[in-house]
Amino acid sequence: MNPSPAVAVTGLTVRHRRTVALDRLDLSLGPGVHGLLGPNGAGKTSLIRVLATVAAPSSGRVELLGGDVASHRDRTGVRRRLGYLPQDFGYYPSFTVREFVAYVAWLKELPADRVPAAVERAVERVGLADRIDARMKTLSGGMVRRAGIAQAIVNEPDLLLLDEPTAGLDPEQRVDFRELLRELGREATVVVSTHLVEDVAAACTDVALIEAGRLAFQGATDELTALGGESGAPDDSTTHAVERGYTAALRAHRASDVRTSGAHPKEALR
Amino acid sequence: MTTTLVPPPRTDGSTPTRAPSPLRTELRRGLGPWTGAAVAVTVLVTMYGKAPDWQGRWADATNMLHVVAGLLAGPLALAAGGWQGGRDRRRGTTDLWESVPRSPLRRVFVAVAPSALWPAAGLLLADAVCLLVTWPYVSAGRPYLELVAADVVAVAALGALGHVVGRVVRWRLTAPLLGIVGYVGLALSAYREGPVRWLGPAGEHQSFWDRPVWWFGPVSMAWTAGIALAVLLAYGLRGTRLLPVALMPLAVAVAAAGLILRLPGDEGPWRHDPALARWVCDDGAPQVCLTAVDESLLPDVSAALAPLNARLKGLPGAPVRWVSGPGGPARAGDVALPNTEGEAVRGRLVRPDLYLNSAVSWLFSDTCEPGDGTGPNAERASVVHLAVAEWLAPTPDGYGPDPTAARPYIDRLTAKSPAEQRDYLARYLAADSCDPDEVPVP
Repeated sequence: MNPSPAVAVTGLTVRHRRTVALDRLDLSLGPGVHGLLGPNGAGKTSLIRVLATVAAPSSGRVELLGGDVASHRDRTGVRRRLGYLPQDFGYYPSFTVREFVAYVAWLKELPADRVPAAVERAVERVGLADRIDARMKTLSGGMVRRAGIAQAIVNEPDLLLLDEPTAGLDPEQRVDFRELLRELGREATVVVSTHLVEDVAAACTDVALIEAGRLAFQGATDELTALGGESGAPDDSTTHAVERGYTAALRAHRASDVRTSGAHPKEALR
Repeated sequence: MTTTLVPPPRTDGSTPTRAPSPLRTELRRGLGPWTGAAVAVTVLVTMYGKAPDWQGRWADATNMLHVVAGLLAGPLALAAGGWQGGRDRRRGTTDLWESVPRSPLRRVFVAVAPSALWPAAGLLLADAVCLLVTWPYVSAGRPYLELVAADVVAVAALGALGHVVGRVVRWRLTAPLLGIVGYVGLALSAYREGPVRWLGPAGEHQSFWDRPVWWFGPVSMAWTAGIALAVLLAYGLRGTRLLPVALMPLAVAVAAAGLILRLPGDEGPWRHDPALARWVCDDGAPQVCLTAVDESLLPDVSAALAPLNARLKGLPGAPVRWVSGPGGPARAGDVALPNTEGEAVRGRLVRPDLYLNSAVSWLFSDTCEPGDGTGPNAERASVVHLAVAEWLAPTPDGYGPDPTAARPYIDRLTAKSPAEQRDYLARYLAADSCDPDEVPVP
C-alpha cells in the first residue's frame, strides 16, 4: 500500500471577494521537490497560502501530512511539521539572524533544548553561518531571502512551502539553493512556487502547472520537457526545453478549456 | 550562498551558542528599550524642573511622581505600545506567524512584553531616582511605595492596551493618536470631580499630612492590571472556546473599580495621619511648633522668627506659641504660622525674610465684621497697621503693598527707645484692630 501523500487537495476552491483564485483544484503531492508553475495571477500563491494553513479554503478538502487542516488539533500538528517562506517575507530588522530563526523555532514549538543546534544547522545550510549574529537589517536582499529559507527549515519540516524563494538571489546563490532543494526533497515534500522555469528544470522532480485556478498539468519534469518536443536551434538547452514544455502545456490546457466552454480566447488561437 | 549546504559535523566538541529566548529577544530588540529610556528621561526631566516643589516631603514627591506618571508616562506608553502592536503589519510577518503552531495567546504575551515592561521599568527607575534624592531632606513618614507600584502597573497596563489597539486598528497614525487621546483622557479624568477621578492614574492629592488607605495601592493595581489582562486574553483567545476566561480578570477589575468608586469624592483614599501632623516644637519664647513632616525646617523657622519673637517676648497679648499644620491653634495664645509649602525647598527655608513678613501678616490678621474698619480714622488705622507690620518685618522688594504712605509712622517707631517700642506694641496688641478708633498711633 502506498503511503498517504503529504499534500492531498480535493475540490479546493478559494475566492477573493468575486474573484475565483482556485477553482475545484485536485492535487496530490508526495515526497520530492515539486515545482508549482503558472503565469502571474494563476493562483500559485493562493494555493501555497492554503497549504501553509494561513488562508482557509472557500470549499474543498485539504489534507496535509495525513491531517485534515479543518480540524484545529490536526492543523496544529501539521504546523509543527511545516516550513513556509511567504512570497513577501517579513522579518524584524533589529533581530539578529540567530535571534530571528530562534524566534521562529519557538513559534514552531521546537523543544527548547534542540533550538540552539537547530538554529545553527539551518543557518549553516543556507550559507549564512558567518552572519549569524548580524542584525537582519544589515543583510543584503539575497541574504534576507536565505535567512527566510533558514527560518522555514529550522524545524526540519516534512512539508516545505517556498513561494518565489529564488527572488533576490544571484546566479551563484541560485545554484547552491537548488542543491539545497534537492537535498531537502530526499526526505521531505518540498513545494516551490515560482515562475522561473530554470529553477524547476534544475531542482524539481515533479511539476504542477496551474492556470486560472485550475491544474493544467501535473507530472514529472521530464514529461513536461517532452511536451515541448525537439528544437532545431543549435543553442537549445534543458531550460529552453522545459520552457517549451511549459508553453505547450499551457496552450493545450487553454485549448481544452475553449473546447469545453465554446469560447475563443485569443491565446488559444495563437 | 556558499557551498556549505550540508554542514560538516562538529569536530571540536563545541556546543552550539545558546539561542536567546523569544522573550529576551523581544525585550532586547526594537522599540522597547527606547521606550523605557524615553519614559525615564521624560519623568526625570519634568521632575527636575519642579524639584523645589516636591524634594522635601514624601507626600509631595509621591504625588508629583503620580501625576507625571499618569499624564506623561501613561500616554507615552500607550503610543509606544500602539506602534509596537502594529509591527507585524508594518513588517509583513502576519502571514508567516499565521502558519505556526504556537497559540496566538502565547505569541501576544511574548510580543506585548516590551510594550508593557519597558515603560514600567523606565518609570520605576525614575521613581527610584526621585525618591532617593528626596530621602536626605525628609523629616518624617515614608514614601508611599504602594502608590508608586500602582503607577508602574498602570503604565504597564497602558502599554499593553496600546499594543492591542495597535494590533487591531490598521492605521499608521494609530500610535500618535493614541498618545494624544490618552493624554487628553487621562488629564480629563484627573481633574474630574467625584470618586471617578481616583480610577484614573493621575488623580492628584496635595496634603502632606495625609496617607492613603492601606488597600488603595493593591486595589488600583488590580483595577488597571485586570483591565489590561482582560483585553490581552480577549485578543489572544478570540475565536476559541476559552474566550470567556477573559471575564475573570475583567471581574476582578470591575470589583476593584467598585471599591474605588465607594471612596469619598473629595479626599478619595487619603486619610489624615496624626503621626505626620503631630507638633515638634523648639524651646524658645514664644515657642515655635511645626508638624513632624517639617521637623527639619524648625531651626530655619525659629531663626526667621527670632527678631519678631525678641520684640514680642513677654508682652501681654503676644503669642505664646506659633503653630502650623492642619489642626491650627489649639489653645489660647496659639497663633497660626504661614504654610511652609511655598517657602521650603529641600528642607530649608529659602526666603526667611518673606516667611517672617507672612508670619507678621498672619499675626495681625483679624476677622472683622461687615461695617468694621470704617469711619474718619479708618484710613489712618490702615496706614498704622501697615507701618507696624513693616517695622516688625519689612516687606522684601517686589512683594506686598507699597509702604511709602506708612513711612512717617515707621520712622517714628524706629526712633523710639526699646522700652517705648515695647510699650507701644503692647498697646497695639491689646487694641481691637477692627475698630479704627482703637488703633494706637505711634
